[in-house]
Amino acid sequence: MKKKKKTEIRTARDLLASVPESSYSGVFISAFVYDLDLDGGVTDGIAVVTEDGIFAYERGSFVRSVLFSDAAELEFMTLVGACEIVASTDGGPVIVCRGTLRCSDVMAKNVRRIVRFRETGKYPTDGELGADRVCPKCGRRLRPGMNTCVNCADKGSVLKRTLGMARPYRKYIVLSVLLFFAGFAVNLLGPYVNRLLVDGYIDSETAKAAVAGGEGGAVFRGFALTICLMAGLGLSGYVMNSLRNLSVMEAGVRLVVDLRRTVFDKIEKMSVSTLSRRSSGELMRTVTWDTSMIERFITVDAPNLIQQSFLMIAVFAILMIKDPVLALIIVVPIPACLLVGVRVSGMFRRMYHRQWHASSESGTVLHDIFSGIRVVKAYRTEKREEERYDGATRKERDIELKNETVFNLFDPIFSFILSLGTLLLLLYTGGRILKGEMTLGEAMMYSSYAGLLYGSLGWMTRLPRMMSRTMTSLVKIFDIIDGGEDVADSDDPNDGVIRGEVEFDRVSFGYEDGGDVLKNLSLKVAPGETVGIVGRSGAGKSTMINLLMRLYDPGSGSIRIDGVDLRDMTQHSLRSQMGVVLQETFLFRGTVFDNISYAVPGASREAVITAAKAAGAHKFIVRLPDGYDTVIGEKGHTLSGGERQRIAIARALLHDPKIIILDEATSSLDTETEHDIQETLARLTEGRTTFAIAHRLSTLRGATYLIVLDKGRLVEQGTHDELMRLGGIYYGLVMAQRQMSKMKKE
Amino acid sequence: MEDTRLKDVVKIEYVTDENSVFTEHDGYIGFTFRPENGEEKTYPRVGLGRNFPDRSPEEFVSVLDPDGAEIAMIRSVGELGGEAARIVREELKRRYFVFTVRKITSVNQRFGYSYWKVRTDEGDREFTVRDTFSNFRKTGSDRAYVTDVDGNRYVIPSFSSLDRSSMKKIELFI
Repeated sequence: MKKKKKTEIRTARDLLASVPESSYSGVFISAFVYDLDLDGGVTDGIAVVTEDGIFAYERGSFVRSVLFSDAAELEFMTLVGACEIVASTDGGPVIVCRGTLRCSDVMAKNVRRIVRFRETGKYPTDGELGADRVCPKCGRRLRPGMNTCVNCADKGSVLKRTLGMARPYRKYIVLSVLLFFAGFAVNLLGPYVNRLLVDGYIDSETAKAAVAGGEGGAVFRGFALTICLMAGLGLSGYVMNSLRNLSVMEAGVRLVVDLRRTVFDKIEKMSVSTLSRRSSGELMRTVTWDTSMIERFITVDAPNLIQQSFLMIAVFAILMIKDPVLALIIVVPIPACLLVGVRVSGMFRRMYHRQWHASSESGTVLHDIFSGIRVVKAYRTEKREEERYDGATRKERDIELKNETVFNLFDPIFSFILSLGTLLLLLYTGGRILKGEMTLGEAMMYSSYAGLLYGSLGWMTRLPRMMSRTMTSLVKIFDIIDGGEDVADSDDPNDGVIRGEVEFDRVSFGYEDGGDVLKNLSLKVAPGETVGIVGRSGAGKSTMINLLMRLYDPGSGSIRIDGVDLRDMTQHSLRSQMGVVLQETFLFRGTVFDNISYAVPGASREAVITAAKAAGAHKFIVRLPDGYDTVIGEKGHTLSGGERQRIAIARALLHDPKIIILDEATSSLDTETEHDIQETLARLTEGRTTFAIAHRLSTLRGATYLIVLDKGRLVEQGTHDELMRLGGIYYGLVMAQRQMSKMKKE
Repeated sequence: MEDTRLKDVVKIEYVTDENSVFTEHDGYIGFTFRPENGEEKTYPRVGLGRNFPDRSPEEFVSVLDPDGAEIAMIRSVGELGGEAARIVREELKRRYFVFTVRKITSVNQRFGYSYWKVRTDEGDREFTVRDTFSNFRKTGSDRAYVTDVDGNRYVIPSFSSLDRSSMKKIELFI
């Protein structure tokens, strides 16, 4: 098994061993693996990067090379299910190597490094040969964003850490365990007292003789006393159980709140790139469901596990001491139970998994139909959607019916097998009683003990399922808690009030698994200048803004504000001096006032109104019946797109930032409103460094100068007039828009 | 229902043997095309894009320039001449790399992931799938594909050609 795994995941090091050093030229820099040949077949490939070029070897023999002196440009491209590195040479494109997506990270990273090497002469290394993506234990590839291999998560240490989380509540947990043991003793005493009652009074010849002989008083007194003792045991058992539940609950409630806060804090600190890899549904589930699974584990399941094990061992020990044969008889059905348990539990798990999916499917269908209800009505497809939902629910019903039938047929098997054990026990004890070797009381005691044992056993059969569920949650939570911050604050931050000088210094950046979106971008903006960013969609405009806001860190190069690298500032300090208005506005559930003062919680009403006026929002807010107290956001008052936008602008203005970012901020406004806001914006951006992205080029009239991005490169830069004279991409865009407005007028 | 007038406004440029030449290079293809009312142009390297990769992988295949803009459309690869069809088919095979699954040796589900061992036309493979239910896509009554954590696709071309034990392992997802 182990050997096989090793051969499947060939490391660069293994393959490199087969490449003779004499077969490539230049000083060796790095090597990486790839796995497809140019005909689309699978192969074992290794590419050696030297100072001269790239040399590719497949199945141990040299296949092709590209020299850097011939290649103008090197690019990483993603195909469907595959990716490739292409060099453009004078003789046309040359494909350097291809790989399945398993190799995409490594290939993309190496292209980035090589490009950097060719620009700077230095080869950046972080770890070696791109082996850092693989779980060090099993060699399985780690998913980006996952830091622990789910498969190899050290279960012992995970459990230990989980119990560590319970540390602040240990007094409750210790108390609950102590209470349990007290209750446990009571439990064990129960059958014994029961036996006293039966053997000493109910089924006792001496007692009967005493009653017949007129000395019933003492007997009845003793009898009543024993019954009282039983009642007392019952009562103390009840009290201890209640107290125990209370302390468990106390610990649990506190723990889950703490745990949720820890997870939530961590999620909030995650970078956007990490966050965008996880769906919000997944994150919500981790914060709510997974944490409560862990709470349940720490407070209920783990103590229960200890307790039930003790109970089983203790009961079994008592039985062994009292009557070994009987003890063995009691354990006879256990192997059968385990056997059936293993078989059936897998089946049940699959069954319910299926049911869960069917029900989530019908939920999704419903959600889909409701959120698209306007489209449904517009295209008169109510009937069809009705059928779609009907189909989904019918499927769910069928599965549920089948599952319930199967479950009810098979689940009682356990109780049946255990009842066989009880019958065996009865056979044995009955025989002994008949022979006069055992009293009725003893027989009853044994059967009660057997009951206790079987009860624990029943609980234990649910253990594997519970453990696997808990482990799933645990791994997910630790993955979040342990996750490094890929956009981390520097240990020695250099914060302060900024003037607003922004410099992009040879910045390159690519999103994960793809080619570079920004290529070697350099730009210097003086404080107070307004830069208009122009370009086709996908040219890298928004990416540039994302980097400036430090939602991502550049792949290479640096961004500096007032000469300080963004990475040396805290994200808090940086963003507190930036005002951002995005194309899609998000309003939180709350009043208009709350939404405008979002970044400045203590803002005065006057300041908020001023900001709203500046943003042109005051006009419509005044007309709302509830004014600034109007509740907006989901389920609140419905605002138009333009109104929402104006509130977002007011939010950014109130915050008095040194750097303003307008990402298509006014695109959802009508021309007239935009014109209104433009003037206010122009006044407000005065003295603040502003980056504005707009498709409607007229919006950028106020810009000090414009930059034009094309496929991640800065291709044109200058004022409107200069760029028009240049007659390049910008000219083309302006002309196209003029054409459009002309057409509209006609 | 369909608005026939749309056809007058929007035109699809189809590739025929008369208006085009495909050329073969080391691992990629070139393309020369003469649009109906335009001049002939040669592209040193073009890409191909299936418009219906699931339903009909050989029909409506776009020929794309390096920026991903459509130059022309192949209505059906089979309609092209033998040589062109062969070049196109080979390029499609390179562009759309999938593993074709013939046998499923094991599927282990653990902690929200599933670990697969399969026999494919390209050899034995092991891969990991996250959230298996959403990454197992049925594309017809008899076929499906699984996408692994890296984005690689594993196509099961026909359920009926799988053996019983393979079928049992994926039953849950169907």
